Amino acid sequence: MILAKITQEQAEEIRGKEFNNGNLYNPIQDTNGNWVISLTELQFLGVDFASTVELINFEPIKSELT
Amino acid sequence: MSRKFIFGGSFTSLVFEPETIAYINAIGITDETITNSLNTFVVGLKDYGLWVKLDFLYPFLGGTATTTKFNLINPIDSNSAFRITWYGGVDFTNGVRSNGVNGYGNTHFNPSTHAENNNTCLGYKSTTDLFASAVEIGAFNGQKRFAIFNLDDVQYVDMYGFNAGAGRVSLSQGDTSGVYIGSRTASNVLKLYRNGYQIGTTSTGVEFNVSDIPFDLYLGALNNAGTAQFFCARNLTFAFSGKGLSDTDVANITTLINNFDTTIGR
Repeated sequence: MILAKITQEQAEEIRGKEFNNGNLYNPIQDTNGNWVISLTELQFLGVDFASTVELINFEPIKSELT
Repeated sequence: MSRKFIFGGSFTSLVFEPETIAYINAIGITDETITNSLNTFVVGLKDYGLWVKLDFLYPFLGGTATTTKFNLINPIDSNSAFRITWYGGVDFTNGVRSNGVNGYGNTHFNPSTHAENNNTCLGYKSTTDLFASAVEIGAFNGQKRFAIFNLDDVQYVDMYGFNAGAGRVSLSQGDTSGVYIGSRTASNVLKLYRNGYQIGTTSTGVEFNVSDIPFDLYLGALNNAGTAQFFCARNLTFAFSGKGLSDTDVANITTLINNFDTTIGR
C-alpha cells in the first residue's frame, strides 16, 4: 500500500487532530522508522504541508498475533 | 414502556420507536428504507429482550465518520455513551473498513469498568473474507485479551485470557465473513458462534476478571495496552457488546442483523 511519508515533527504536529468531521490523524511508523499517514489523511493537509511529503510503499513492523 | 411514537417532519405518516428516532436524529439519516428497517431492527431487539443486554451496538450507517460513530443503544455524542472516535484511514462507504495500516475506532468501552465478570458478549458482522493477522475488535493487556478476531483462517474469541483452556475458543473455519459472536455466560462457559450457530468447543477455562483489561476496546484493530495494532481491513456492518447471550439470543440477533443488511442492500 502506498502511504505518505512525513517527518517526526509533522507527525507530532498532526497526531490526534481532526482532519475530517469525526476522524483524527493517526501517523504511525513503518519497519524502517519512517512516519507515515494514509493518502486519505494526506488529502486534508494544507498545500504547504502536503507538498513536502514523499509517497512510499508501506512496510509494516512485523509483530506476531497469537 | 412507550412503544408507539409519531415521528415528525418528513416522516409524519410513520410510527417509530423513540429509540429509533433518537438514533435517526443523531446521525441525520433520511432514507425511508433505512429508517423503516432500523425501526424493525429496534423493535426486534426489544421484543427478544436483547436491547437491555447491550451496552453498545453500532449499525455503521450514513457513510461518514460523523454518522457511523453513534451507539444505537445510547446515541449521545460523548465518550461515556461509547460514541466512537475514528483514527487514520477508514472507509465509511458501506459500513466501516480500516485501511489495514493505521485506521481504527476507539469505542471508549473499557472492560475493566464497563463489562461484567462472567457475563459478557462481543460480536460483529464482517462482509469480507480476507485472511490476515488482524483484529476486528478487542483490547489486550500484554498477557490477557478481551477480543474476537480472525488470525488468517482461524477464528478466535478471547475473554480475559488467550491460552487454550484458559478462556479461549478457537478453530479454523476458512471464511472470515459472517456474524461472529463470543459469549461468556459463566466462569466456565465461553462460546463462539458464526451466523447464529455455535462453532468450536465450549471453553471451560479458568475464571479471569474484567479488571485485567483496563483498556478501551478498539474496532478494526487491537488495543495493545494503549497502542493500536493488527489493523483489520475487513468491512464491518455491525459491532456490539453487552451481557452474555444465550444460544437463542445469538440466533435472534444474528437474524435481525442479517435481515437488516439484506433490506438495505449491504
